[in-house]
Amino acid sequence: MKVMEKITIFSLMLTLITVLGGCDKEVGTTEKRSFMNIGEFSVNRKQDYTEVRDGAGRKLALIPRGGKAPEGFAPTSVIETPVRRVVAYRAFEVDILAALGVPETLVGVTDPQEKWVRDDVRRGFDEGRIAYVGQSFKIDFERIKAQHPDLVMTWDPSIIPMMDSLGIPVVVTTTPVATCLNTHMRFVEFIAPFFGREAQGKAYFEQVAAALQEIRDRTQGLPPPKAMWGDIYEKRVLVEPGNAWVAELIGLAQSHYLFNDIYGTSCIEISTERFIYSGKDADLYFTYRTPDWGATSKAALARQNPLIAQIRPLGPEGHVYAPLPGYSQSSDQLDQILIDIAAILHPQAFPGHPMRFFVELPDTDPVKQAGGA
Amino acid sequence: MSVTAQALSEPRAALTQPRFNNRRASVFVALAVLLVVFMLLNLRIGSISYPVEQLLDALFHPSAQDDVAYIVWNIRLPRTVAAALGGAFLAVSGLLLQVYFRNPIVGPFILGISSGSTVMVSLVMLTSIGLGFSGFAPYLNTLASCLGAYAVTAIIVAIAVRVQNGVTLLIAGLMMGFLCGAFTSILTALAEKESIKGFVLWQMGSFSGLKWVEVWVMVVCGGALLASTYLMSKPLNALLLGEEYAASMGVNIRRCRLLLLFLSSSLAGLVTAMAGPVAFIGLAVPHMARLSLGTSDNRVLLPAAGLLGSLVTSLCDLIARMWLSPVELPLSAITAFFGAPLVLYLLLKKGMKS
Repeated sequence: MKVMEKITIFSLMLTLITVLGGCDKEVGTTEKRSFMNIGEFSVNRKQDYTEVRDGAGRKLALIPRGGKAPEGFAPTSVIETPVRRVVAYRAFEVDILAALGVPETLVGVTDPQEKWVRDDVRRGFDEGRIAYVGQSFKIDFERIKAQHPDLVMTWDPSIIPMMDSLGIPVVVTTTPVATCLNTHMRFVEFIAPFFGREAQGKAYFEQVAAALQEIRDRTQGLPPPKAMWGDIYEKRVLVEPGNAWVAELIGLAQSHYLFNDIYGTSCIEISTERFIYSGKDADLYFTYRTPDWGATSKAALARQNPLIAQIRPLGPEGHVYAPLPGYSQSSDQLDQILIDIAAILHPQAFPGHPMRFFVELPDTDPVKQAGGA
Repeated sequence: MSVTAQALSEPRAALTQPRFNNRRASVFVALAVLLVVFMLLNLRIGSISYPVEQLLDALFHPSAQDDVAYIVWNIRLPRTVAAALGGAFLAVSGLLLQVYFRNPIVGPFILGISSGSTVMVSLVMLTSIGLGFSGFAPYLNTLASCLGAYAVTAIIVAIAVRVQNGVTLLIAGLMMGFLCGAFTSILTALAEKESIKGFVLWQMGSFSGLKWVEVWVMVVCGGALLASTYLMSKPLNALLLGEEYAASMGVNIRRCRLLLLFLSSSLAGLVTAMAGPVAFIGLAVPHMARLSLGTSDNRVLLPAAGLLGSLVTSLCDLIARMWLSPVELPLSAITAFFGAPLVLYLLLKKGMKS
């Protein structure tokens, strides 16, 4: 092969590896950068306004209601604060509104009422304040317009041109490089200025930080259990990568996460043999499935995926935990979720802790009573 | 005229040449050796590294109760065999359709086979229909996919009985694909987010997680289909020179057409049922076979396409598993990523020579 061909192939492969493995650099450093600098996000206080850069790298100006818009910003990039009416794409953003003490600002969501377990959201639907504005990947712009939001919080930058034409400001609230625990905790501080709730944002962060400190203190010196988090979907294995916030928490709680060497932006596909190999060594297994989606017992999981039956947690000595439906809609109680996970990893450090967000799966499904009422 | 079209309309003299000359024999030997090498590599290399002695020990002691034996016999070996078989089936299926339609850009899924599978799998995965058939777990998707593929095959064959024109049949196949695609889109739009995750993964295609029973189905059914296909190589050669010529040579055109469609669709359906839609192999490998052997004689091309399909799929599966190991990449992405430039290179090389 000619030298130029070799160089071209090498460059192409290097580019691909860099693109695919770009996240490694973010999390591989020993000192993690603060959320305000991760990805595109930043918050800068100026003299008359606050400049926010969102997940799509767009600059937004937050001004007090009735204040003068700074120069150099398009009309839909200027947001009057405190924001009073919000359409939120993700449950996480809805949770953040609750953490900031402004759940009543929510006027639109991308899941219908029956999908919500949060009382405040269900109540909002009943009162007619909250509307279902279509699925997140095919939003109903007419419904959004009808809700007259001051702000749309989304992961989808493709809606920005349409929202601009409707005159509705948008903030992109996700970034592929911000998956770590610090981000998860600090996200509320990014959202707080939109509602003039910086103090509540700080209090939330401190509350979660206190929970983490408690976990560190209680679990120090305890023998580290080995944990895995993932599932097999249709013969394909998805796991939480080592840079996910749950993986980081497992490390903080003096435990060993078995996929620490795997990096990705969210749940990621790995080889079956790696899943089985690590599973043979695991003490604990967290499945993605809720009981509603088939995670009713170890036997039920093994029945769905016979390969999974080989992992140690599915045996008599292991433990398998499934998230309860409220888990994915309770980020405002992140401190409690963290303590739940820590109590699962080290039950001896949290005696009598009542589990709120996870359930341990029994070996077999309970036998249904014949001739029951 | 394109290189492939030229190959497809090779003069009669080329087809009457001896089947195997030294060059062709060398290509066959090289392909067979490479296939064995890649299959061994697929067994040897995985995200968990074991010494060769340990792997050999596990290979010869399948009942051993250790991790290595489990991984070799339940994960690596079924996947290796399935990838090799699946590649062969798709390549042969693609070749049959390219010859029948006399169209070099036809692939095994052009008649809506994968769309039929997809619609049935979406019914199982995206609706609550699957709950009524929980007794079939964990083979429910495989069965649904199989049913979808063969339902479309049956419809296509039924249409072929009434329609003589290949282009009309091609359009009918495309319409089947659109119909199934529309149905799948509606189901996806109405589905729960949680179930879409599994469905999207299935659509990417993979030989991961296949169980022995599925591999045996591939071996037995696919083997029978391949053997039947080879028996059709002479009528296929006659078809290369047009239906009128084939008829004058005593080929029963109607029966030949139905058999050809049945075999091609059945081979593609079998792979889709077991592994989901695997792109590119069926479209590109027949070109690779033609270009590397320099012939359109189907007596040579059919086994060559099968061997080459096995080889390319085994290699791509190895890359998909190991490039960012233990992270897995979608097989269809790898087949296109490495295969498309290779086909382009072969075409350009051939073009420059001529």
